Amino acid sequence: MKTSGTKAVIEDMAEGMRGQPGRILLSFISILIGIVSLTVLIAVLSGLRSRADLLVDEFGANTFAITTSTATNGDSSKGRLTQKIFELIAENLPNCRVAGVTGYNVDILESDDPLHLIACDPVLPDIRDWKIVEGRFFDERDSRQLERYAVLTLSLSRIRDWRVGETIMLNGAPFTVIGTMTTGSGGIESESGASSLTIGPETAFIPRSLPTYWVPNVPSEDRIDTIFVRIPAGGRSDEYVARTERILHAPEFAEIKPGWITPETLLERIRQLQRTIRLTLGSVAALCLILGCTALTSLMILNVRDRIKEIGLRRSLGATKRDVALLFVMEGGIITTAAGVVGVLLTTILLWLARSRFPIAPKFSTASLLLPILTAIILGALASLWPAIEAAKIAPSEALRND
Amino acid sequence: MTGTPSILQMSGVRKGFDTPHGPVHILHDVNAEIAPGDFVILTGPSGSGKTTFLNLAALLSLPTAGTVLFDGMKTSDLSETDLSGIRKRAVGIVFQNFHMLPHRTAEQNVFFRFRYVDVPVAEAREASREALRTVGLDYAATRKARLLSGGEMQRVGIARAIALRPRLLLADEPTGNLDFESAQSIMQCFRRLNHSGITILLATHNESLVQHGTRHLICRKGSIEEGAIHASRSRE
Ligand SMILES: Nc1ncnc2c1ncn2[C@@H]1O[C@H](COP(=O)(O)OP(=O)(O)OP(=O)(O)O)[C@@H](O)[C@H]1O
Ligand SMILES: [Mg+2]
Repeated sequence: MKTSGTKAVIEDMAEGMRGQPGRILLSFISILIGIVSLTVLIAVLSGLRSRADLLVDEFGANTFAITTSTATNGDSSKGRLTQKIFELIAENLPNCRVAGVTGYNVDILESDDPLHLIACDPVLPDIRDWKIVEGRFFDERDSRQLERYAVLTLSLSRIRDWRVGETIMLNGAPFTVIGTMTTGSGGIESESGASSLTIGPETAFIPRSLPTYWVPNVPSEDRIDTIFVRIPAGGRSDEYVARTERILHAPEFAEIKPGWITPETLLERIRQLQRTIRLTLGSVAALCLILGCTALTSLMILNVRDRIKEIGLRRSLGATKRDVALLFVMEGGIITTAAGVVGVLLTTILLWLARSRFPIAPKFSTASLLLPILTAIILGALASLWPAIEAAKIAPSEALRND
Repeated sequence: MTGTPSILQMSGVRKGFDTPHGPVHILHDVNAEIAPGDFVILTGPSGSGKTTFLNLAALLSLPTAGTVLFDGMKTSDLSETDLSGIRKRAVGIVFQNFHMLPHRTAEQNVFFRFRYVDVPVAEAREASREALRTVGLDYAATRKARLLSGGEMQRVGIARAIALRPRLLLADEPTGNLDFESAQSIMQCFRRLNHSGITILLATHNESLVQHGTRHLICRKGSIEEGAIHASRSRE
């Protein structure tokens, strides 16, 4: 152990700490509040980010969808997406997979509540990355042969106790259950408000090619609610969206007001939320940190002034200007580092305790814990840099003078 | 000039300060030399520039004009690091106004001499205790500096200055706060240190201390003159 070692440095720190306890506390607390806000900000934002990732994941990063405003409102036959449009799109985007989706509510024997039924093309699960749990999804052949097959979401099959191989009655028409699958967590609905994309947890799927005679009150109709397009990997969705837009530009489709749903539009709400939070919490954090730094700088100026003789003594004992500057930078750094560590710990504990109250859970990672501490260390060093440099500049003979 | 290389040599040294009322000139045309083994007593009235002279010798300030040679090196040519290096090892200073760290004990204050010097802690601790013994203050080693009397603080200051056995020991009014008896014993202490090979430059306005030194310099009207040694003791 050397005389200029760590212990000496710690003793030096203690020398500075006893001077201005009130001011030290003030800087400490404002930095602490700033760090707490910063940590919350980072945790909430990263919670939002991972929710956004999940959302895109669930929707499909290489996927976009076309809907129309009248899609769910059955009475107008104009302005709807139709089989013709579907075929045009599929023809013009040969390297994409395209699926049409039409939703119905149908009566079932076992319950008074109607069941959500989706008529779709066989490629839909591929496009949406849904996973078959048991059995299989209907294929092109089934679709062509108008097989009355149904695939159920896992929870529907559990709730109704409908098994693969069983025959179920939908609006009085018999369908054979050939598979069950999972369809994501339903996050899209809650975040994006794009209800036409929503696949509820309890849904049955049948081939879209089937005639719709079994739908109550709706005669055979040509209606598609949503068309999903999965572009090839590496393709740019905006290009494909533009190509599809051109197809719909034809005069015969003038009535159609298509709505475009891309990962971008899906994230719009989350982005807004992110912006709002960044702005509010961010300014609280910034203000507190600025206040803390100002308090720290003034604390350090007083500290230097109080200890001029000590500075002279140190210089006479061989301390360089650098040693003197470092002394004060480290003292400032210690205060903010302590505030940083306490702030991060406090926030982690508080957020963990309150985690169930957040609609979107805040998320912690090593980076989100280290970043505020690092910020605190750097701010502390910066805030005390100027007083420290001033301290280093004092000529030793001046510092030692007797006045 | 003697045959032995001098520790400190000043020629044509001037030192002034900028004050709000314009520049003041404290030392002009100072020529002085201190050889290894000297025990120089520097006298002069208050305000004559003794401390200013000591600061130049301690490399705590640089001359406005002229040259100060420390061990043959021109101080104004040395880098900040070189100056610190010399202050760290070669120079010990007893301050006119003590400059203690009030919250640390006497021994810790002496130990602080080693703060910027890389020596093993155990060694530094032993040297600090030894230095306190030398000034007869071992009884107060664990007392906080702010609780010491002026004379005791002065002796802690001396212990701190000698703990590292400097080549040049500078003492600014080291007996100023002491009664006659204590002053005598401190001067004896300085004489012993001088005998053990430490070169000493001691500033005081007390003419009666001159007898303890081997040389007498007088600070007067901004220059330094060689004075006579009246008493029994001279360079042997
Ligand atoms: N940094 C400075 N700026 C302005 N004037 C200074 C400065 N340092 C010293 N002086 C002036 O120089 C003169 C000599 O000061 P110095 O401290 O060297 O005297 P001294 O001989 O040590 O006096 P004393 O016996 O009272 O300690 C004084 O008039 C003092 O006011
Ligand atoms: Mg003086």
